[in-house]
Amino acid sequence: MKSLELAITLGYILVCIFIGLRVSRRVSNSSDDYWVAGRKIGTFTNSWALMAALGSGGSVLGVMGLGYMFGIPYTFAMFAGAVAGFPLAAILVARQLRNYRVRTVPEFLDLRYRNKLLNIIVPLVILVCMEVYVVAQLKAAGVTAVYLLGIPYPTAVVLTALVFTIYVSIGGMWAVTLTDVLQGILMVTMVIFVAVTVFAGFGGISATILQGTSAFAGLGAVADKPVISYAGAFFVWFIAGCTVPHLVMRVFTSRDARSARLSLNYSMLIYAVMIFFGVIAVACGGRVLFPDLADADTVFLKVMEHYIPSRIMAGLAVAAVMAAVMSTTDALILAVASAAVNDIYKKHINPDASEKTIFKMGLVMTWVAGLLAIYFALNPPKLLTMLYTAAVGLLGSTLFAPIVLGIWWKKATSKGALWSCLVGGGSYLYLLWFTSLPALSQVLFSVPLSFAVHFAVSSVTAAEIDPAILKKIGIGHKRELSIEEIEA
Amino acid sequence: MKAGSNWFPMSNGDFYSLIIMLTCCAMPFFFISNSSFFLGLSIFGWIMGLLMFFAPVISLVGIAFDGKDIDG
Repeated sequence: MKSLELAITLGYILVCIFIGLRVSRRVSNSSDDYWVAGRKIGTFTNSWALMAALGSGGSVLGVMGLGYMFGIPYTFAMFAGAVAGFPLAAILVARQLRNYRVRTVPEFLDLRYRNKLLNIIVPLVILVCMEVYVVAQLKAAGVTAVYLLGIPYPTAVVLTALVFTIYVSIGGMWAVTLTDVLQGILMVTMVIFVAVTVFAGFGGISATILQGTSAFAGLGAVADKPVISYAGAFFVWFIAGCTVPHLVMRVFTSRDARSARLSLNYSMLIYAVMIFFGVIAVACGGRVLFPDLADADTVFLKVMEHYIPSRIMAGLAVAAVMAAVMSTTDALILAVASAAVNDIYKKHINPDASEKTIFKMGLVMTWVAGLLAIYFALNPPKLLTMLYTAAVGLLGSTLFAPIVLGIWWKKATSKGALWSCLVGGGSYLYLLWFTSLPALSQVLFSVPLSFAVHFAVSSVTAAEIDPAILKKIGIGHKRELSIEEIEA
Repeated sequence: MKAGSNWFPMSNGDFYSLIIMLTCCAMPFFFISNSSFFLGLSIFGWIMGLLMFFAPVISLVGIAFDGKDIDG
């Protein structure tokens, strides 16, 4: 066991728990404080929190491994989709979702469509998809801790899950936000530090690229994959900013619509710097220094160990990787608890529940979600990567058309949204399980199909649109809301 | 996007940044078969890398122009 690195990581974990304890008094006042941080988060804080929520363990370890294995162009194609997806969300959904003052995606769909079946299906899809996402992240945390700290996998999984469950359950969205800022800054600093050190070692950025691509020609070339695979990889993440709940929830926490839109863009500029320079440095440096790695995902750790001899810096780097995992997982677990409490318990089981009861249920559900994640992460399914990818694609196929058309199209009806949701999600799963389409390309068919069904069914059922609902949706498009409009 | 009977209006800043951004997202795929390289990296790779910076900047410019439009 590496004691110094472990001590630094434990110190970092204690800071996270301390933040949760500090903000626990603030969130006990109202459920809005617990779920959406009182809608008071400013642009700077939200930008870093958004960046950290997207920048998972995969961003720090997986993306470098992907670059090392399949080349830089393929990796950039995947991550450019995610980066471009946030500005897309800033344009298409951020202002409106913030102005409607809802707490969750299903709450918006209820406001817009008032469809009972949709109100049950969507939270269930979110619950399953987000829990799968949590398990995948938790497994990444376990594997990282085994490699870097030398502690057993089960210990690492339980420890990591307990830490973020503790601070999320007591501190809610305030704790998630503040720890995410800390984790985001730590993550970006360490990746940039490693990148600069690598560039300095090779004699500059261009020298690094030239030596890396000379060592392995495939590093700079377009990988031998179908174009549809590239387009699918790009598109899955392009629509994620509008649909994946733990990212959309950050829009609800913003102090106003403009701040939400600005933070979506600023966060991606930070993320782009980290991914662009990190991938070039580590993939190229890794190919020169370690040309035959059996496990490509370890390339960042190998390069880091090579260039950072200081054990304190290495300990901070371990904390940075753990931060990447935890900053995504804490937001995910809050999204799971939010779907269970706000969209299922409050809406279908106990509609008269008081603020205090909702707060207590949030705490209970956070622990249930955390313990379930530990259970599945200790015995992870073999096809976990497939399931996790399917989860993001399923959310996009199910929710993208109902959300976007619900905001922009006046003729979008409740039946149109329901069928769009069912056909989008159903066709995605069919294409995923029963056809041999290239990996990640299924969304290229399921999402347009979902839009087509929404248009077709809504056109037939247009007579059922409630003018009062349309008026509310119209108010959400305004830049500035009056007091009367906010109260309405 | 102008206010019509079926769609909520979109400000000019947002509309043009959306069109520019979608064009920028589609453009790299026309270079996917291009065999040219710059500093050892394919042109497709460079364009995708630069898109990561362009996309947020385009949207930020749209937000900056947003203030000159009429509310829906």
